[in-house]
This record gives sequence, structure tokens and C-alpha cells, in this order.
Amino acid sequence: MPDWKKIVREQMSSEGSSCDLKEEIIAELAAHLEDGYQNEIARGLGESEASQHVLSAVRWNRLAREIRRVNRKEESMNNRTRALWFPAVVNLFVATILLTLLEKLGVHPRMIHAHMVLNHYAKSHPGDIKYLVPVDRLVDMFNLPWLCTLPLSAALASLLAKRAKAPAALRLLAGLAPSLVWLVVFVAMSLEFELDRWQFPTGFPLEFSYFALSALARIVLPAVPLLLGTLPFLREPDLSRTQTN
Amino acid sequence: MTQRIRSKIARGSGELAILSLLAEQPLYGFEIAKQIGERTGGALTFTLASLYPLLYDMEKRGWVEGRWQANSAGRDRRYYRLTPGGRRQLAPLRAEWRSFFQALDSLAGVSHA
Repeated sequence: MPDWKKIVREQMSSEGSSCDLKEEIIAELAAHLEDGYQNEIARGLGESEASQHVLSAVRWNRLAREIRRVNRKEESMNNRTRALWFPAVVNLFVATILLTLLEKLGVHPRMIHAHMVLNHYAKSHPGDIKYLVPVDRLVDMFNLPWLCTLPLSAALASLLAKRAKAPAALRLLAGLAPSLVWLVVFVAMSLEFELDRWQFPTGFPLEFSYFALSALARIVLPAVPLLLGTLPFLREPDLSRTQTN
Repeated sequence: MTQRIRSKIARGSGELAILSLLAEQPLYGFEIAKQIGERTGGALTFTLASLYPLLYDMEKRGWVEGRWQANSAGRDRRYYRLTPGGRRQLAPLRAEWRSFFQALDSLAGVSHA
């Protein structure tokens, strides 16, 4: 009986696929050929005729191409997960943990400037007090102590992405993940908004300004410390120096 | 374009055939191909090049899982069985193909009228 494993290895090697193949796959393909061969023998064919018949039915180039395609699909999925999704999720997780930790430690956001503006506005527009309630919530958004911790989570995310051999663009995306998530949320929200709600109401442009300030607080401001944390990991390694050393 | 549609149909029908067969019992590659050929009267046939890449793809998607064990002749073969995820895929795939054939059938009825 022919050595089916050897045949599979040789044929796949000639199609440039030998190194993609695990020993398990070679064994399985060989077992299939062996079963086909036994089947032909049982039908009354001679040994050489049976093996010829079995082998002539195999399109090795198609088999190699299809297996490569399946492997590539898995590889690219795994690479993308390690290089982008995992670091991005870690970034979001760490940023959230840091926020919770600061709150537990009693480090509350301070935004003296906002309070000054609010006080000034309250004095000059006493009738518009209803607009001040949501504006007051902005004080919580400009969480300066939390913003100061964000370079840490961004640095961790971009380090993880770099270790997964992610290109600089993916490292940047992983580092900016919290801001990008908010960007997606705001784009979705703005698509949901009716156009007339964007019109300035009489007196105080609350709807639009609140939306714009929220976007600033959640997207733009965190992006700055996140970028700071990411920057050291965006540099490509100096290959020439590594080689000469 | 036609080639792509044909390959998608072949792929989809292959997935349904394999899942349906494995829903009955675990089988190894050669048996899967043999039973599909026999039970469809040769209308559906699997070759080495079409069967295994599809099985590996389905395994990576978590629909089937392969395990080596000895067959009735005492030879080690990789038996595929349906996973719970694969079982969940079966009903929507069947429904999809049923509506596909119904659509074709109604179209053919119109063309013959």
C-alpha cells in the first residue's frame, strides 16, 4: 500500500503549502486517500490502478489554496484580536477602573472655571435657571484628575498592541479607544437627533452647546492624555541598530 | 460574478449537508463524503479538495469538532461531531434553503405560465 502521508506531504509541498500544514491535517488527508484506495480495492481494482484512480481525483492545487485560505482567515482574525481589539478593551477597562478608583478615593472633579461661568450666568439670567441644571453636570464631565490618569491606560494599550506587532495605526487606535468609543456614540446620537433640536432655543443655546460640550469633554479632552500615553509606543523599532548590534 | 454565486451556493449547500448528517451521528471525512454522495444519488459530491477545507472552516467557526478515534476497522480516523453552536445553525440554515427553493420554485412557475 502506498505511503499516503508521504504522498500528501510531497504534493502539498509542490503546491507551496507544506509548512502551512499541521501533522494532524496531513494524517487526516492521508487517511481519506487510504479509505478511497481500500474502497477501490474492494470494488475489484488492482493496487496500482486503485492508487492511480484515487490520486487522479485529487485537485492538489485547489486543496492547497483552500486550506491556505482557511488558515489565513483564522490568522488574520487572531492577529486583529491581539493587535487591536484586546488592547482597546484593556484600555477601556483600565480607564473605567481608574475612574471608579478615583471616585472611591474621594478625588472629585474640580472645575472652578465652570463654576465661575455658572455663577456669573445665574446672576445675569435668573429666569434661565432650568438650563443651568444640565450645564452643571458638565462639571462632572471635565474630570481633571481622571484625565491625568488616562496616559497610563493608553500606554498599556499601545504597549500590548506593539507587543502583538501591530502597525503604528493600530497602536494609535488602541491607545485612543475610549475617545473613539465616545465618538461612535456621539455620531450615533447626532444621527438620532431631530434637526430642529439643534436650533438655538430663545435665550440660551443649551441643546447644541450641551451636546457640543459633552462631545468636547468625552472625545476631545480625553484624546489629549490618551495620545500622550500612546506617543512613546508609536515609534517603529530601529531595525538597522538591532542588526548592527 | 456567476462563478461567485455558484461557489456560494455550493458552499452553503455543503454546510447544510454536513450539519444535517452530523446531527444524526458523528462521522469522519471519508464517511461524510460517501454518505452525502449516496443519499443524494450523486447530486452532491465532495472531493478531498472541497470537503476538508469546508470542515476546517466549520470547525474554526465552532460548528463542528473533530476528535481522533478508531473506526470499525481499527484505524484511527478523525470523527466530526456537531457542537451546540452547530446545532443552533442548523434550523436557520434549513429555513434559509427552504425559502430559497420556494423562491426558485415560484419563479419557475411564473416562467412556465
